[in-house]
Amino acid sequence: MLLEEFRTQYVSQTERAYVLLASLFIGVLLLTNIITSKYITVSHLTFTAGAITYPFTFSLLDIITEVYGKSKAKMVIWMGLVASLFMTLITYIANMIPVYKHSPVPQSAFQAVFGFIPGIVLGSMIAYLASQFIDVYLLELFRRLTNGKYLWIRNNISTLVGQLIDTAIFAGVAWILWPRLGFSSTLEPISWDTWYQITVNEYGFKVIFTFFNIPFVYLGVYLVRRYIKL
Amino acid sequence: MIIKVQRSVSMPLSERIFMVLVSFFIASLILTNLIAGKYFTCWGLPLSSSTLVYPFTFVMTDIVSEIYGIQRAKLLVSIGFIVSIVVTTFVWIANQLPIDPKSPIDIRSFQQIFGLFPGVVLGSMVAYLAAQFVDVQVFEYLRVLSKNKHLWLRNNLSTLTSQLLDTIIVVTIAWIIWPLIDGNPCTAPIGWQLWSKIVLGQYLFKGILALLDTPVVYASVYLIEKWIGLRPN
Repeated sequence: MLLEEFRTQYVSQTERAYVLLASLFIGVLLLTNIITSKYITVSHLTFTAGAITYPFTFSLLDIITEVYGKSKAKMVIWMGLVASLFMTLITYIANMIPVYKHSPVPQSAFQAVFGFIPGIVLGSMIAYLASQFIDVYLLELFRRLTNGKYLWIRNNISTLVGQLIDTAIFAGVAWILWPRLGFSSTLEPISWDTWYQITVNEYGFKVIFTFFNIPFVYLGVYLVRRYIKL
Repeated sequence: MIIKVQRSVSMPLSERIFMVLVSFFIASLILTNLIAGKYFTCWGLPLSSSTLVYPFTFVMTDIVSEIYGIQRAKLLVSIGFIVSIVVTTFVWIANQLPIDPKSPIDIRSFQQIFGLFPGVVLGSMVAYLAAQFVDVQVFEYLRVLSKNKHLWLRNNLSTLTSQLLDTIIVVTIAWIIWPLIDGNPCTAPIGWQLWSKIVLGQYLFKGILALLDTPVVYASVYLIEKWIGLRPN
């Protein structure tokens, strides 16, 4: 009886929109991790191909938090983590299996693309934790220095520094540390010079993107709210 | 007021588990298409490495439709469709962008994986639609032929036929038609001899999978229903 009631429950537009936003978040997050090891050139500056997609994960998360609140946004973050770990496991096994000699995709290509995944997922986790801790630490430090005044400056500075650390650690773990650990012998680490360029450019991109994100999130929130008729 | 209520609702356990199932479905769907191009050998037959993760998509939709009803299972399928299209668009864009010489992934490897990706997605969508359509047609034809008797036989025969068609279409579009259309110098269409081996291997795998699917779904459904309290102890 209870079961039947549950099964025939009407799926509201509120729920439909949430499942769609969460699914898009997970899809784009996984894709970002996979394509980010291709570096692209935009007017002589080096970026990762992930720079095209990862802004969407932020916008999607902001829209979810705004419309559905913290509890549902946290759920999406957790699921993103679980999905990333699941992807790491599956691609790792797929990479290890001995290849068929007429395989449409050769092992060399598979190895080059998916060999980086564990380093990327590991790198984003370490970077996330480190930047969050530093963010909190700096906020507290500035609070003492300013005697509890200028909250908006403290807040912005600590976020900016946190993001820089995040970018630097991520690039270091994913493309220098992971290839050097040598689990996948064919991966080549990038040079420190490239690391520096990538960190600076991606950081600049993130800071600029933060401003462009605002109208995008406003529009998204407006559209979702209209769809679910709030 | 309404906005406040909507925002402060904490998620019930049943909804959380639903989101976990959704996430695994989406992740499995994307991975299936991404790693499809690498084949390994299993008892002499080539098998795609996506067979590692492809079964999850079925298990997830089956569990959702069993516990949460057909409406939510349908929602899952259509959202999977939308996410696939969005991801394919991004992959295509990422593949077109000029590569930097310092890139950790070389251009050839990237193209060999992602150049084939749109073909895999296109192939599985066309195959899915065609298989569903043929399944209904064959079922109806057999129903008339058998004068409404032998349901289990009709059901199995129509599924076997549509699955064979599904396999043939996906293999042909992904590994022959798309590489020809795309004309990417890093990817080449496979030969017909390899094609027949791949179709055979994949089809046999699907048959075995269909048998194994049932106990796995039964066990998962039982456990989840117990956990969220839909089943009295």
